[in-house]
Amino acid sequence: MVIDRRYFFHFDWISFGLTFALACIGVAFIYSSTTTPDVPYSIFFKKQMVGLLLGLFIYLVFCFKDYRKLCRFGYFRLLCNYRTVDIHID
Amino acid sequence: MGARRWIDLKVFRFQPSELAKLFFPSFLTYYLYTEKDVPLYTMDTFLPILATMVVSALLILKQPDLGTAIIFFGSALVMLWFSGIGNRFFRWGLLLALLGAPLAWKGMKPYQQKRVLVFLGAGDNRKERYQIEQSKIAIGSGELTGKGFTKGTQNTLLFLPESQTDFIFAVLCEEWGFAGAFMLVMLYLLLFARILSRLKKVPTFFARLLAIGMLTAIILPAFINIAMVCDLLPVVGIPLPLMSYGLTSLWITLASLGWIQGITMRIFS
Repeated sequence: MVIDRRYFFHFDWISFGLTFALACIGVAFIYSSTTTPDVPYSIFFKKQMVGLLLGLFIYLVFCFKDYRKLCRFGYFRLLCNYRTVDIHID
Repeated sequence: MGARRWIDLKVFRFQPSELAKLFFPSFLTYYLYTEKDVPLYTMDTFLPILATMVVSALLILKQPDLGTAIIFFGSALVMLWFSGIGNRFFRWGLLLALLGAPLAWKGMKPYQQKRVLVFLGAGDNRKERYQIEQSKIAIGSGELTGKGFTKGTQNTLLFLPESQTDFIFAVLCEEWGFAGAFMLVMLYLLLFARILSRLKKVPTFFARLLAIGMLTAIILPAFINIAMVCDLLPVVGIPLPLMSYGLTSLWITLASLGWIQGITMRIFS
């Protein structure tokens, strides 16, 4: 994947910062709502922490991949997704 | 309740219906893009899209996952409106929805009907209304500045079920009070306003359409979740985007926001 240098100048740090802030508040409150004296760091908190780090990677992949290619992929992938949901229900 | 929404992948459980929030906007955009170069369509153009919408919603409802179906259908309608479908469609759609409401009520699962009845005031505070009453107690007891981080009694004493998922907003209200809740709502509004202001500069109609579809799938659950926790809407099991526990929801939300960022970042190209 080749990344055009000009993209970095147009990257919106404000919306990225707001997204990251909301996700961090979320993780903090998952900690708060699941912590106990016996198990301070619950499995929910740990999973969400790892999930957030992976999520930021996903964010960047979707950001730097050409949206037109992703759109074309999504068009065909929707039909496969129906099959997954259908098989899962059956 | 017999719901089959997740596929167990051992490390985490994956919810395939969440993917529809990403792929349906792509489907609609790419379909319209390949149909014509300019966004002027007749009703016939939209028929395959409407059929896809109905099939998607039915499959998601079959799981049953009313929350995801509502978000999916809502964002699809916003995209159709944005792509220029006639007002006649919405008028007929509203009429059909009103006429089909009794049938839809009969098609709902008993627990879904109970949630609607609870919203309308029915049920015992210690049984059917327990969760929503505990949520309101948590919100009210936070007062102006809250009880302090990790000091909330409603969730530490296990009065509030599902506090880490759908009812995380109630936990925040209890621990950070009105000030914290106001700050959180402002953060959401700032994020949405910022994205919308950047989208206005995107010259390509189809890129804007795609971004609007994905953004609606984040705005709608945020609005519905907060309203639901405050007892302003029935409890439908919709997580608060970016905040609630749930890896599929978090990843799909971040993927959507990254995708939108990718669109606005390429304004110059």
